[in-house]
Formats: sequence, C-alpha cells, structure tokens
Amino acid sequence: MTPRRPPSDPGDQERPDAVTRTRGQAHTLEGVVSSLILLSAVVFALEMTAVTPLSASTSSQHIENQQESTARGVLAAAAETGALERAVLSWNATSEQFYNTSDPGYFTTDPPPNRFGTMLNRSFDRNGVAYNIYLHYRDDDDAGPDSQRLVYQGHPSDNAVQATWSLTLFENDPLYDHEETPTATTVSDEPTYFAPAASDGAVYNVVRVEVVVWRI
Amino acid sequence: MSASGDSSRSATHGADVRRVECSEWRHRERGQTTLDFALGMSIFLLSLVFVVAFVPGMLEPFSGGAQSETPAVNRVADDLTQRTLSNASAPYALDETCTAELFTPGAPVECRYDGTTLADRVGVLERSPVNVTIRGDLDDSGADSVLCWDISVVGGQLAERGASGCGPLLSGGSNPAGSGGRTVSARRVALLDGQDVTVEVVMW
Repeated sequence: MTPRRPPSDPGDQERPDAVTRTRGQAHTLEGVVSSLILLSAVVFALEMTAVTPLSASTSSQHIENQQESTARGVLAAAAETGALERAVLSWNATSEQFYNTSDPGYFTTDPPPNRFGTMLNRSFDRNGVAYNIYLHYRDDDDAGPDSQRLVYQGHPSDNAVQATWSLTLFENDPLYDHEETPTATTVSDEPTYFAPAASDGAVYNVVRVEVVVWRI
Repeated sequence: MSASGDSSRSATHGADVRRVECSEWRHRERGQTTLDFALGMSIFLLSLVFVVAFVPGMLEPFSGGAQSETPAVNRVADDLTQRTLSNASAPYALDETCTAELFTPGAPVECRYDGTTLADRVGVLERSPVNVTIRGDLDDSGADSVLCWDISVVGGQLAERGASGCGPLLSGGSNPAGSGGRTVSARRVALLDGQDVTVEVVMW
C-alpha cells in the first residue's frame, strides 16, 4: 500500500503538498490496529485457560477415569475367579519364563492365552486400548520391591492411568501349566520362579499386579 | 499512532483549503479516503467475525452441557458395581439375584435397593434420564451383546440376548434413543455369574 496522491492540478499552487498526504491510510491503519487489539484479547484469554481445543493432547479426564475403573474391574473380576493367580503362576520352569511367551519372557502384542487374557482382550484390546502389566514383588534382599513384566506393549503415553491389585501367594500354591491346569510343583519348590520366597512363613510373597492403560 | 497529529495538521491547513474555494479540489484532497475506509473497515470486520466465531469453540470445554451428568454417571456406576449389587469386601463381584431383579419391578428384600423404577433404585431424579445396560461376550464371538438372565435352569444363568430361555433383559431405564445424541456414559467391568461383564450407565 504505497500512499498515492491524486494527480496534482497545475492550478493548485498554493495548496500545500502535505494536505493530501496527511490523510494517508488512516482508516486502514485503524482497522489493522483494532484487529490486533481484538486478536491479542483472544490470545490473552486463551493463555488464561489451561486446556483449550488447541491443546496438543487428545486426552479427556472422563475417558481416563473410565479406563482406570475398567482396569480395576478387570483385576477384581480376574482375582475373584482365580484367573489372575493362575496367570501369574503360569511359569515354565524349563525356559524360566511365563508359558506361551516368546523370547523376551513376557507378552508383547497379544494378551496371555488364558482366562485373564480373555478378560483383558474383551475390555482393552478390542477397544484399541494398550496396556502394560507389571508384577511388583518383594525381593529377598531388602532393597525394596522388584518388578517383572507380564505384558509389555510399549512405553505408556503421558495420559496413561494405572490400577493395582495385591495378590498374596502362599507356599503351597501350585504352579500352572500352559492350559491353566495346576501342576504338582508348588511355587516354593520352584527355584526359577521370578519371585523369591519373601518370608519363612506360609506366605510366599505378595505380588502387586499393576495394569497401566492408555489410549493408542 | 499519529492519527491525532494528522487531524490537527489537516485542521490547520483546512483554512488554506477553504480559501481556495474549489469544491472539486476539496473532493480530491480527500485522496483515497473511501477505499481507505473500506479497507480498514473490512480488516476490522474480518477480525471481528473471526473472534466471534472463535470464542464459542474456546469456551466449549467449560460449557455446562454435561457438567452434572459426568459425575452422576460415575457415581451411579461406582455405586452399582461396588455397593448396590456387590459389597465393599468383594467389589466388582455382582450378586446374581439382585442384578437380575434390578431391572424388574419387584425388589427382593435382601438387595440393597428399593423403589420401583430404575431411576429410583440408583438414586437419580426423574428429570435426569438414566439407562443401565449390562453387556458381555459369553460365546467368544468377538462382540459384546446385551445379556439376559436365563430362568429356564435352576438358579438361573447368564445368556446373551436372543438365546432360548432368555428371561429378564439386563437393561433398563429410559431409552437413550430419545437423548438427541448428547449422552454421558460410564463403564465398569464386573464379575457376574463367573463371567466378566460390562456395566454401562448412560445419562443425558
């Protein structure tokens, strides 16, 4: 926008040149300035709020609450039927890892092929929700709890939620084979089991099952 | 801006202009004021329209649309799965009789609810429609379906909707079809009759 003057009239000698220049683009500039004021007011109002439609995350507190409650319900239902204990005690002594797992020793893509895995599949896998399951147990040294992965599907996102369930293992609890059938070996007789005996009493160890859930 | 300076200057020179006494010149002196005004006004109006269109979207997360229903559905769902249909020592393990009777008019005395309608039993006022549906996948078909209570066997058992012997459907309350599509739902997974089921509470 270069300021333009009307073609100067040859007879217009006494009119000062400044008059035509002074008006210039005053209205345009006013429009630009008022737009800037309006937009800066919007930006100021946006900065005031923590979560806006422009926030990068797609997280929703309501959905996170539902996932957390779902995870807790799955754990409670699996613990009530004993499926959780069978899944945790499904230990392959030969390969020294859980049954039906491949090289890393934990499940990565599919849920465990047992009742607990079926519950996980119905509530999470089918809905496109990823989850990790960690088993925290007490190590025999007093360095605090140690952990073992049961399912690991990747690094959780920032909006992951978790639910835990404490599972008490007793000395004479049997280990289970790949078809969820109890074997003759008890957990205290199996030296390769991931959790060592934490006490001399009847309680073998307490495993805290932690489920971390996030939307993919 | 120098708008005030400009106007004062043009005012001082206005005397000279009037001395010239030529209306055509005076008209020309205005320069492109009309275009200038149109441009400035359109810039201003465009930004105003943008702001007016943008503000409702900005306020959307805080609008009161489903504000009261969101905690209400969670409270109803938690109450059903942890207290009304089960008990605090074994949460999420639902009682079969009370769950099946929740959706029928009569309320057994041993159950922790009373009233005749579902809204009364879950403690929701009449003006907030509520729907409770229990879904599950008993036949490993890969899809959940609404469950019913099969009363053809002694003691009853769970069955999927449409199965033979299907008794009371484990679904009740208002019909979400009349909600206009703006509903809030809460889901809980629980254990019913040895099966993991999903209790879904919908309000609007």
